[in-house]
Parts: sequence; structure tokens; C-alpha cells
Amino acid sequence: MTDQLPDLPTDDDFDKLKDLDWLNSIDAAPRSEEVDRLFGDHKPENVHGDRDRDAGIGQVQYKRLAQQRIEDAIEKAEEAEFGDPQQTLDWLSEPKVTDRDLPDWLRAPSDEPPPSWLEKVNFDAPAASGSTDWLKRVSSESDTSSLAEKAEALQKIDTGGLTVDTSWLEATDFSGDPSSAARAKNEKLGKSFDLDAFGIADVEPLQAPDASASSFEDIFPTQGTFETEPSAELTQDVNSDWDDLMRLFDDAPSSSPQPAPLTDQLTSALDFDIDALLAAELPESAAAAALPQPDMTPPPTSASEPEAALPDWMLEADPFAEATPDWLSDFEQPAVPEDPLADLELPSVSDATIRPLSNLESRGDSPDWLSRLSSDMLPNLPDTPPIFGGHGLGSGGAQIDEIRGSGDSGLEPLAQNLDESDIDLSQELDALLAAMRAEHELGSDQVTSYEDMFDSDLFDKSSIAELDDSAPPLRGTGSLDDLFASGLFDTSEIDRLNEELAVPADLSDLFDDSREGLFSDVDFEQISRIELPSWMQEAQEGSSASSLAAALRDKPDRPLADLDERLLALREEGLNVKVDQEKAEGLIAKILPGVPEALTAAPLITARPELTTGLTVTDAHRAQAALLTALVEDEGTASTDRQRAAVRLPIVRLLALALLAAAVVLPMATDFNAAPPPLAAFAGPREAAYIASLNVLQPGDLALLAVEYDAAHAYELDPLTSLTLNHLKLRGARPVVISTNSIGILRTAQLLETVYPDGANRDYFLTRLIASGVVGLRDLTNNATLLNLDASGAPNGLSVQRLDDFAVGILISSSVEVNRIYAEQVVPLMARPFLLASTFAALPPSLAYYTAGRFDGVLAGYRDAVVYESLLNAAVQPIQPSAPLTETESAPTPTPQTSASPTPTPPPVTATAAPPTPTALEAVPPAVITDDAAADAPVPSATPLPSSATLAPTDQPNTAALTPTTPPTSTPTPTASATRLVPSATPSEVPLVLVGTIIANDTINVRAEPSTSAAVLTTLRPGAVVRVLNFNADRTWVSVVLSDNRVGWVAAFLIRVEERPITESPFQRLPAVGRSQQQATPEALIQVGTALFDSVTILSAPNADAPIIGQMSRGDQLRVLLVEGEFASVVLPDNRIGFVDVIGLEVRTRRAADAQEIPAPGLTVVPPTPTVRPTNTPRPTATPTVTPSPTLTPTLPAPTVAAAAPPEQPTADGGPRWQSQFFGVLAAIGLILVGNLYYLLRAIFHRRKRPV
Amino acid sequence: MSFETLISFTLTLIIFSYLLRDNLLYRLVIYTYIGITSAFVVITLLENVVAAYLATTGDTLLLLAALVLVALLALRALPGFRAVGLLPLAFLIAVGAAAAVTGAATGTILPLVFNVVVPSADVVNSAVLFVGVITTLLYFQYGARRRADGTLHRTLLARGVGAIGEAFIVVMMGATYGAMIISSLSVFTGQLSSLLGR
Repeated sequence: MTDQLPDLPTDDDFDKLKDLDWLNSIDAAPRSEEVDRLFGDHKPENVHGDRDRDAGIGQVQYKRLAQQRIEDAIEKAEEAEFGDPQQTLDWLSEPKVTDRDLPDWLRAPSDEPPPSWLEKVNFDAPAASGSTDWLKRVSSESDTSSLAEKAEALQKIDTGGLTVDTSWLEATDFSGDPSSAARAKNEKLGKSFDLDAFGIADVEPLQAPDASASSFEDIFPTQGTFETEPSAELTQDVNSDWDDLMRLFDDAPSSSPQPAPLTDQLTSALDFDIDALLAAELPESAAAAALPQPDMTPPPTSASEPEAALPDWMLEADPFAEATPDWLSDFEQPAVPEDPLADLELPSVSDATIRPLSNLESRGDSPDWLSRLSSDMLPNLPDTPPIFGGHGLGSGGAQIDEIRGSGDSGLEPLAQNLDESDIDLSQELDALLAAMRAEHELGSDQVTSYEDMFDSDLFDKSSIAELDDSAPPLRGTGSLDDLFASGLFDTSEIDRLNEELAVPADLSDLFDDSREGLFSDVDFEQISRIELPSWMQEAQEGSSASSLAAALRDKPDRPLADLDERLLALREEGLNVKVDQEKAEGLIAKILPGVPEALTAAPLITARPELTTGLTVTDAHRAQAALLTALVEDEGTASTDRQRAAVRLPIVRLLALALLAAAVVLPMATDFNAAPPPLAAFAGPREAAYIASLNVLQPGDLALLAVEYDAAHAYELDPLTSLTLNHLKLRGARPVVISTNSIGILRTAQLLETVYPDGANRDYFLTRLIASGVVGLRDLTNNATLLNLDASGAPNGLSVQRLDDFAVGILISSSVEVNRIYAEQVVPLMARPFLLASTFAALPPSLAYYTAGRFDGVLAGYRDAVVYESLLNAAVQPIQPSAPLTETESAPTPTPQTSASPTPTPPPVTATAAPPTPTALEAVPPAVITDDAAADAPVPSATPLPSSATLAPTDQPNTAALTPTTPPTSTPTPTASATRLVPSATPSEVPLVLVGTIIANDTINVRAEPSTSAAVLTTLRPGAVVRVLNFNADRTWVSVVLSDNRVGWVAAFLIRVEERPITESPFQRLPAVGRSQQQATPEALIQVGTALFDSVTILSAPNADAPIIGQMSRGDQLRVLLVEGEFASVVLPDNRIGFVDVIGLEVRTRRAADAQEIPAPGLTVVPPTPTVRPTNTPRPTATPTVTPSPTLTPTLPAPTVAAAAPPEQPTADGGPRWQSQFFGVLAAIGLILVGNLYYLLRAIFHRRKRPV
Repeated sequence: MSFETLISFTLTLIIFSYLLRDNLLYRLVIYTYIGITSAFVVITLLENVVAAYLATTGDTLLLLAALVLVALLALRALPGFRAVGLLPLAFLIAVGAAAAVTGAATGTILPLVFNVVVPSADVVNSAVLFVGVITTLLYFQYGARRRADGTLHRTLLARGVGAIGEAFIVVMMGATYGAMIISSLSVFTGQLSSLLGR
């Protein structure tokens, strides 16, 4: 047998087993049958409070206990001092053993003779057994010097962890002087021969022979020590005893009828008892020697470096405190080219955790500590991965158990059977191991070496009992239960824990301090601080336990019938993990061949992360997952939701719509007019500035009108556009319409046709569309000549050279962006007033430009349009530009100065001072202010000139006849019978004024005197409306008041004069202080009247019975327009025109530049009463009057524009649209408030109901 | 009710049906409006810009350059010439940006800054304007420091000032929102007035 020693398994082969076991014990501990076997009934499996958490707790505890026991076993194993197992193996494998080849432990010291006692050993005594040949050769070839040395050498026999009790040799007292110290040493070392390890457990323990021993029993003492060379006497005795020993072996009483020779058993045990080598306190060297060695490859360095091979993390007190074992850490290198788990639905596991086991096959430096593990720690794997040839160790393990359970000793029947059978064991082993070698060489999966190895019944698994010498032999069992029962481990804590956990408890109970002792000793913080090996940390961070669970899911640990409820539930949960089964299995099978079949799933851990090493799914994770699910929901689900939404009616929305519609439609459809009427006048300065800026326009002025809104805003801005056009027409100005909006141009074209029928390119000019937005506008500012072309590119008659040729700019816009663009691109390059008419929505942001002075006046929305319309109607309604010419008032001589072109001909600026004349017109300042002069003037500031200030009292009786009672004192006109206009009384109570409209087809001249030879003051365009003061004597000339309050003469046949109520006159709002007066005529002469009395009454009409509209104190000065008869017309600070008896007034001529310095500290102006609409219905309200008392002391402050502003009073009901607008806004505000209140209350209510 | 009024009423009713939900008729009307508007814009551009330019311009070279740019822009429709079409786009964008920047500086930024820094006669308004501008600027994260964990941290003072600025923004947004409602109602009432002849 020794001559044909078969190839033995190597550490590599064993490592393959241990690797799997190690992984399983660590990562799948809660589900591992191995752990269950390892701990038996001591595992805390009754913790049902939180299965996942319990799994984590149990995992930690398992690891701790396993670590502790492994360390204990290793510690005991390390206490043995054995020789080089490889050397022993080599020696045993040699067909011919020479002294040179003897292992060290058998080789005697080179310079010392062999022990004498060994020389006396009769190696040939057991001649019946051929297995003792090696001993014969030892006897004959070795240089044994002494029996003591040989005994010592025998003591060092590497029995694969089975110590031989040689105390009997020591007790024999070979030296004759046994040393008590040496005995004590040996006792301490605990070295002894355990016959049980050699399969002769049933042999009665031999008693240590004393000096008089003569029997076998005497030779085998239970204990004893020897230290020195035995004496010759004892040697003789030993020799005789040896014979007895041999005989005893041959005739040893046992349970077996024919016990196998001891030497055979010894040989078998030494060679093949892997389990014994592993389970007992077996050093790695012994395990290596006992394992088959297919290719006789020298064992790796682990055999020579046993300590270094043990993983550091296993050596540490904390089993998880250190990193990967060295041999395993190599696999952390990028051995795997790509992450094979990347495509898995579950989080991937790092390569360090799951790697192809095929890599492990080639490992030669497997950890030695693995070889020290008990075979009972091997997993019982019925489905061994293919690398083990489909013959898992489980069957072998089962056989081991069977052997253990077969009797007191498993080897006895084995030996008996072997002896009785015809089996040539060596041949069988040769065949089997050759097949195994072929497996390794060819990588075949069909080799059954390990299976056959175990099937050969050569393995004794019962030797685990040798872990503790003091423990009773674990005969017939070999399970870890026996280990616990042996007292080797202190299981009291486990027992106590199991007792606690036996009571069904939930998770809270586990942490309930009232349950004393349950986890009182558990430092969870410490557990949470456990540092896993780096590769495990990576596995945890990079993926989770779920990936491993996916990898292990198909491995049933045990039959389902054996699983308790908790494990069944865990298994069900693991199986329910949603993965792409086919895909996952394919990848796992690729990277982990055999693992999916071998291992089972680990639970998905959702408990406190500090207690687990697995995946932790928090509520936030679940919420995110739910969100993702909702986002990526399939079309079917989405369409279903839409269908549900389609069925559900928006009740709240419908109710809100119904309420809003009712609020808007009912006032429109009925005569319901409960809304307050619109204001009679603008109250704010920005609106008044808009009107005032248009009021200063001269007839013929060009107004740049930009219309920038589309159809969506037409109903809001069309009124403002229309009113602005009408105002321009009233002033005689001509709009030049531009736009960057095609729809805006379309809308404006329609309005222009309405306001100016057939007035294209004469009364208005519609230019072509400005393209490119900002760029187009910038181009326009640089090249204003583009405006001289109409939409088709033909000349429109304009001769604009620059934007300053326009008297005013107006933007009507619906967009904040457009407002900004104009404010940035056009307004800065145009030194003229620029006005804005905007939608209400665009107003708030655009007001910044008004504040910054970019826009001089602003109107917004429908509300301003209503007020604007109210004001403008009062002035425009009576005016009919297309009114037929009154032929009855043809003048004889004056020939109007006409121009060939409708374009106003700008005469040169002449500011000549004419000498005053003694006529009534001498007061007319000789300064001639032309349109060009006005155009060249700087932009007037947005001086608030509220149109409301021009509203005249309306509640006065009709006494407003222009009846100058006193003729001009020195009039040059031959008008002794000068015709005086005595307007007929009207039914209206409103004072009447004379108004003239230019009816010429072309521009006419306004002259300084009623003569064609007189200087031309200015020109007036057709349709221009001016206030008429008087006719000359022959009614051929009409004196008119210009916008700058100068008085000029117009040929009577070119103007139609009519009486109008003062409230309908546009001139009541004509500013007395226009830009021409302010800036262009500083040297012009005007007339100023100074009050001569303490109280001078200002009347609204040149009639003593006219209403009093103001009071002058002594020294107060007002500008005088005309002195005619008994009255002088004066300009009040609010631009109204009053009349003062010339008796109380001293009229002087002054420079226009000084006009603003006219002192009027004592002037008192009665605010005008609100005007009525053209219905002329007298209002019943009393007119504020000032008693014309000479003693009236001027106590009121000087009037200002603001003071002159009328109170905000309604003018009318505003019409159905106004009513509808009002109630619509009211309903919208109510809906917003109610809706917000509802949602606020609902949020509060839900918050209270929400569980904490 | 005239035929035009009936059509207008029907289309208006369809538009208001959007209050219930988006529907086919609403989309039909919207698309019709967009289509008509687009067609009108095209016609207007052709008549007012292209035709007018061709009828009036005497600068052949400039016209030729414009045509080249138009041709390049049209090449964007071809997959292989998309890069070529970027040239006129770049030209337009660059010119527009230049005009916008200079206009913004002279038309918006400088006047507003001037109004902020120079108090006007109305002290209260000037103060409110100044405070509003400063606090609103501070509200937009100015003065915030980024911590190591990536979060922005502002001091108590910065938060307080930012809250004031936020209040200004809220008021402004609220005013704009309210103004939009009023404008919408104006359009609505205008439409109703037109339909009902009131």
C-alpha cells in the first residue's frame, strides 16, 4: 500500500470546499443549513418581531459565535507541534525509504545515536501485517540510537491532529529517573496518543505501566511523562512489553469480531482520514498531508507559514474588523473584465464578493485557516457546483453522519469490511484519484473523485470530539450539538438568549428595556461600527444584499418541510423579489457557475441599517420608487387614468365659470347698472399727462403712432387707439402709424378708415410693417425716411427726415416686452414726448419706464379708455370735421395762403417784436411761433396738466354770451358798428363760447392783424378747431386764440364759427402753457393783467352775471388774452379762461419768459364743477360760489394743478360694458379669495388629520 | 344676429370650452386662428417688406446681399447644409443682440439706476424704490455662501433683507396677476359687448 500511495488531494481542492463554505457562512448565514448545523438549537431563530432585522441580528450573532469557536479550535490546533506534513507525506509516498528521506521527526539527530529503546523494538513482531513494513525499514535503515529518542520521535508523529499518548513511555521511566518537571511539562502540553484517533476507540484505555508492569495494560498508561533516556532495565522491560503490545494489538478486544491490525488502521487513518484531520485540532500541515494530491504539486507556502495563512480578520477579536483575507483579496483585482451583474435589475455585487469559482480552482494559496475548520462546518450541499463534479460533499457529509451514527466507532466496521472484502483499496483510490486528476487537468465536470472518496467510507468524522481532551468522545454523532454538549463551548448565554427569544416578541420588545437582559449586553452602536472587510464594504455600498440574494435565490438549504414558519416566510419573500429571472440566472450562471444552484437567497433587509449589512430600503426610497413608477407607467395605465379623468367633471371649475359668466353677462344683457359709474376725469398725473401732451399738438403736427397689439387684445386696446386717433384729429395732428405687428397694422387700418374716411396719406399715414423687431426699430430710428413710404413702398407725401420731426410719439401696446423695446430703441433717440397706451396686464412692469421718464404719459386698459372717452366726447362730439362749409360767412378780401402740399410748410422762425398797437389787438404778442419752432423746442416735460382742470362749471345758467360792452378804445378797424357776436341763448345752462373750425382744404395762415399783409403767426390745417374771440367790423376776419394763447386773425371764409357750450369746447382744456410758450418764445411779449383792488372777481363769461370762478387780490397777475369791451379774458392757473372787468385790472405787456413768474399769491380759484355729458342735463347740485366781496381776503394758497383737479365723481353709468366689467372683476376677486380660503382650510384640516 | 356675429359667438363659445378641458373643437379654433394669422403675417411681410423693398430700393448690392443671406438661410432645410445656414442666423442674432444690449443700457438700466440713486422730490417714493431695488437684488442669492456639503447658507441679515425683497416681488407678481385678470375681463366684456351689440 505504501508503495502505491495514491495522489492525494491538495489544499487547493480543499480550499474550494472551504471557500464556498466560508461565503455561505458569512453572507447567507441566516438561511444556511451549515449555520443551523453549526449552532444547532442554540441559534436565535425565534425572533419574529422583525424578520429582516432578526436575520441581521442572527447573522451577527452567528458570525460572532462561529468566530469564537473557530478561534478556539485554531488555538488548540496551534498548540500542537508537528513537523512538516509535506515531508512526511513525501516520505510516506516513497517506495523505498531511506534514512535521507526520513522525516525530521523520525530522523535522529545527525550526531546522536538513535534511542536505544528503539533498537530493541522488534519491528518484525507483527509480521502478520504487511503494513508494518515501513516500520521494519525504519528499524533496519535508520540510525536509531535510543529508545527514548524513538519514543520522543514517536511522540512527534504527525498523526494529523490525533495526538498519541506517549505518556506510557515516559511512565516507563526509560531513564530510570523520570523527572517530575518533565512530567508536568508533558501534562501541560497535553500530548498523548489517542487511540481513538486511530480507529481503535473501543480499545480499552491502557493504563500506564509502572516499573513492574509486565502486561500490555501496564505499557499503555493513561498519563505519564518522560523526559530522559530510559534505563537499560526499563528498556528490557519495554522490549518485552512491546511484544506484548504487538500481541495485544493482534488480540485486542473490540466490538469487531476480527479487528483490523492496528498498523493498517493506523495507516488508513494517517492517509485518508480527512475528516479527522480537519475536524480535530488539526494544523494545516496535517490537513495538507492527509488530503489527496492529484498532481503531487508541492503545497503552497501555507504549509510552511501556517500563521501567516490565517486571515487577519479572523484573528482579530472582531471578526469583521479587518479586510479581506490575503488569498481572497487577490480576486479584488480586475480579474473580472466587466461587471457581470451590471445588467441585473438588482443592485450589483462587487467582484470581490461574487466571482467565478473557476478562478478559485486555480488557487494554490488558499488560506490555511480553512483547513483547520471542522468538516462539520462544511456545507451539506446536495447540489455541489459543477466544479465538484456534481457530487457534492453533502453526500459525503451524510455518510459521515451515517458512520457516526452507526456505532461507537465508525472505523471498526470499516476495517472489518475492508479486511473481509476483496476490495483492493489502493487500486480503487488510484482509479478514483486518477479520475480526479483528469478532472483538474481537463476541467471536466464528470469526474467523481470527491464523491468516491467519501463513498469509500474512509473518512471518520467523529474526531471532532478531540477538540477537547477532557470532553467525552463524541462517539457515533459528530454533530455540533455534541460539541455544545461536550462543554467545550460556553453556551449559557446562547441558552439564555434562546429562552428569551422563545417568547414571541415584536421588534419593539427586543429593544424594550423592561425585558431585562434581552439585549442589555448588546451594544448596538458597537455592532453598527463593525468594520467589514473592504471588499464587503464595497459589496454593501456598491450594491446590496439583494444582489447576493438574487445570486443565491435558487438554493434550498433544506427541504421545505423542515423549515419553520419564519424561514418559509423569508424564503417566500426572497422568491418574490422581482427580477428578470432568466436574465439574472444567465448572468449569475456565467459569473458564478454553480452558485445559483447551490445557494439560496438572502433576505431583503429593511430594518435599521446599523444592525444589518444588507440593503436598507427607507421610506424615502419607497417614495422615490413610487415616483419613478408613476413617471414611467405604461401607456395602458396612463390611458386608464385619462379615461377616469375624462369621466370626472370639474365641478368646482364649472361653478366658478358659471358664477363669473353670470357676473359678466347679466349686466350686459340686462339694464342692471348697479356698478359705480366711471370717473369723470383722470385723477392721476400719468393719465393727465397723456391728455396734456396731445393737447399741445398743433394742427398739422405729425404724431408717430405705434400700434403693437394683436387680435387677442383688440377689445381692450381698440378703444384707446380709436380715442387717440380722435384726439389727434381734434388737434389737427396727423398720425403716422408704424408697427412690427401685422395684426396691429390691420386693426389700425380699420380704425383709421373710421376716423379719417378717405384720409390715407393725407390725414394719416400708414407705413409698412417693420420687420425684425428690435433690429427693425433700431433701423427706423437711424433712418426715419422709411416712414415716407406707404405699405406698398410708394411715397406717402411725408418728408420726414428724423424722428424729431414728429411732435409726439405714441405707443399702443399689449406687451411688456414691446414696451421695453420701444423704451430702449426708439424713445432715447426721439426728443419728443412719448406716450404709452397699454393693456392693464402690461401696465405694472411698464410703469418703471414712466417713472424713469421714458414715457411722458400712460393710459392703460378699458377703464382709462372709458374715462378718456368721457372727456373726449365732451370736446369732440359737436365737432364734425367733415361738416360742410358755411357759405354764408364768406369774407371779402383776405386771401388765404395756401400751399400746394398738405404737408405743413414750416415758415421760418420769426420772433420779431412788433410795436404795440392801440387797437384791441395790440395785446397780441408779435412773436410768431411756427410749427417748426415748436418742433425744435425741447421735449416738454410731462407736466401734469389734468384735463379735469379744464372742466368748467356746468350748473350755471346760460349767460355766457360773449358780449363785450365796451368797444376797443382805439381800434384801427372801421368798425364803429363793429359786429359783436351775441350768441343766442341756448336752453343749456352752460355758458357758450365761440369755436371756429378751419374749413379750408389746405393749410391757412394765421396773421397778426386782420390783413393779408400782416405777419403770419402760424398756420392751421384743415379741420383745426380754434377758439374764436371776435370778428372784425366787417366780419371778414375772425380773431382766434392759438394754442399758445396768442391771438391771431383768420379769414372768415376759411373758418366756420359756431357757438358751443363751454363744456363741449376743446379749448377749455387747451393748455395755456404749452411747449411753444415754455421754450420757444422766451422773448415773446404777452399781456399781463394786475389786480388793482383787494378783490377782483373772475367770471366764467364776459358777463356780469356769469358765475364766479375765481378771485384776485390786489397785485395778483394773470395773463391776459384779449381786452375787449368791459372784460379782459385771462388765463387762470388751471388753464381755464376767465373774464375780468377791465376796471379792476391793469394790463401790461411783458416778456413771455417772465410769464411764469407772474405773482398771484392771493389768487383764489373756484374748482370747476364736474361737467355733465352732452345731454346737458343740469345737475341739481349747487354751484360753489364765492361772494364777490371787496373785502375778501386771499387766504387760500396759490392754486396748483393738483388743487385744480376735480374731485373724482362719476359722469354716467358707463354703459353695459362698464357694468359688466365691474361685476366681472368683483366676481373674479371673490372667486380668488374664496378659493384661496378653501385651499388654506383644506390644507390645515389635512395636516391635522395626517398621522404622525 | 348677423352671420358674422353668429360665427364669432360660436368660436368664442368654443374657446371658452377650454375651461372644461382641452378638446378637439378648441384646438380646431386655435389652429384656425394661428393659421389665419400666420397667413396674414406672411402676406403682410411679402407686401410690406419684400415687395415694398423691391419697389423702392435702388441699392442693388444691398439687395443682392440680402438675397444671399436668404438663400443661405433656406439651405438649412437641407441636412448637408445646415452649417451654412448658421451664417445668416448668426448675423441676425449678433445684430439683434448688439442692438438689444445697447438699447437696454441706455433705455432701461441707466434710467432705472438713475432713478434709484437720485432721490426725487417725492422722498417716500424714492425711498421705497431704493429699498425695493436693493432688497430684491439681495434676495437673488447674493451674499450666500456655499458650505462644504453643497448647501447655500445666508446670514440672518441676508435672509431678512431677502425677505423684504421677496415681499416686493410678491407684490409685483400679485399686481401683474390682478392686472392680467382685469385685462382678460376687458377682452371678455368687449367680446360680449360686440356680440350683444351693447
